[in-house]
Amino acid sequence: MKRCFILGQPNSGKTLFMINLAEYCGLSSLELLVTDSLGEMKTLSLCFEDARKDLVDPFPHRTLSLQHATVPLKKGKIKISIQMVDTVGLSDSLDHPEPVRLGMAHTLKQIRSADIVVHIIDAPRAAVDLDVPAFVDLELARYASCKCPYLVLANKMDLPRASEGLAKIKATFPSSTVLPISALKKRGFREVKAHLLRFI
Amino acid sequence: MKERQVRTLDQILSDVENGTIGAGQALSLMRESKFFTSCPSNNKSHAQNAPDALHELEDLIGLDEVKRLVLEIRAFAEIRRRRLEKGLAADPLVLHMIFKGNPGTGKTTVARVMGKIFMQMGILSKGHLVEVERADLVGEYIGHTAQKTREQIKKALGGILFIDEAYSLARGGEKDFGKEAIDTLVKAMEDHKDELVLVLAGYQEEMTKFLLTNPGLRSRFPIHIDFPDYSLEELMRIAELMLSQREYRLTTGAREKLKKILADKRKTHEAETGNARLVRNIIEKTIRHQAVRLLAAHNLSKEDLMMITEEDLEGDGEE
Repeated sequence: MKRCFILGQPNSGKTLFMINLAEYCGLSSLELLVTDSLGEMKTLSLCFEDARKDLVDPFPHRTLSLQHATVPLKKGKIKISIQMVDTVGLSDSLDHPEPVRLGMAHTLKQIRSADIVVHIIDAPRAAVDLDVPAFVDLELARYASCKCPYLVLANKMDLPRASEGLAKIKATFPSSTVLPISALKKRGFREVKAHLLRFI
Repeated sequence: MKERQVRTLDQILSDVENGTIGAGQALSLMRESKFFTSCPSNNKSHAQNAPDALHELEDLIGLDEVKRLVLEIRAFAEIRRRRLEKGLAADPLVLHMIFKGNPGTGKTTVARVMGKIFMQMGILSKGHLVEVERADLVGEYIGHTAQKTREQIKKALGGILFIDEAYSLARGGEKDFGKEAIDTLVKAMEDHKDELVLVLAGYQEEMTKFLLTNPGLRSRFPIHIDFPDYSLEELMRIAELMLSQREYRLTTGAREKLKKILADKRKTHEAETGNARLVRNIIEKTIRHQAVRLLAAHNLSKEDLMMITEEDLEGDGEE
């Protein structure tokens, strides 16, 4: 099974994207395999309501470990599943508490095993913040695009000024595919799914 | 901080953990160190599985010196290739190596991975490892040794000839055929510079003595690598890695106990202490003990099947 890493800055909506994509693809509950930098491993089984409540909040760095979920992309005669890996937000600042730094290092280490990379960027923030897309976004794009299939998702398109942000993101990554989505409203998921299927 | 040095993945990651560099810079460094294998323009077919061998090396625990050296060789080989493209002079790439260290410190493993990496970089055509010892090289009558040695060399062309306990070739004194083997090897490593990497491996002390008695040999090996014994922490990480590869986990109590067993072992045995093979033996034994314990139980959950508890670890871990 191919492994698709969901990467991006903290609070760009990676976890919510994974949860809602899993629901969109017709799973009835979320089975998560959680691994952290110390090698601890545990499995979580949650219904989608709880997952959104427990795993997502409006502050950055909610996720401090890697969360793997198997998502069926295609049903019927030929079944195709993909392992989505939700990761710790990557950022350039150095003053994070230790768990965040360990989590980032763990994420960076595991990136090497990615078959596909999905890069999520907060579109409305890109419109107002000069520093978004940041250095880490640019480097991520460079690293991932020469390594494996790579997709940029401009998230939070349901918020005001998001389309300005989308234009900026498209201008920053002219050679990559940029898809507008809203992880919250599950918009744009059909295109994401189609692209993922094409990569497999 | 502008100093240009090859950085291994371990170093980059620990810098992130310590908050010295941010994620963006880490990615940039990772890409830099990856660059040479991921986009070699000459052989595309090899490039596809290029990252794998390097990951294998990166995933080995400890061995910082080796990792840095491989990155350096990669950089050197790549620049050499580009110089040749532009018609500049380039020294031949001589990669004969000497590995010194106790048994179980990763010499053979590293040689095997290096073969793969060199193959993917296009330095070696096959990258396989031929592992030989004295008995495979030294013959029984005059002339037999050269023939046997040449045979092994022929087998190893395009890959790595790994001579374990190489000092034993010089063991028998003046009349021993081992000397003939050494002479044949020396000739071969000059003749087949481009298609053979010769690795002499053995214990630290014996190898040092061996090289002192054969000064001509020493200068022919540009790369000397010491394989230090593993520290207790590294042994623990090796143990955890071995267990997680086999999909087992230690309870906290078991972890403490394993640490104690390893610490005791390190104190008592001298030469075989800092040693990954010892860890593997303990772990394999422990897994068998766990199996015996679980056989008696009913209704085993997935967790039960994965957990190694204190009682699975034998007190003294006697072999």
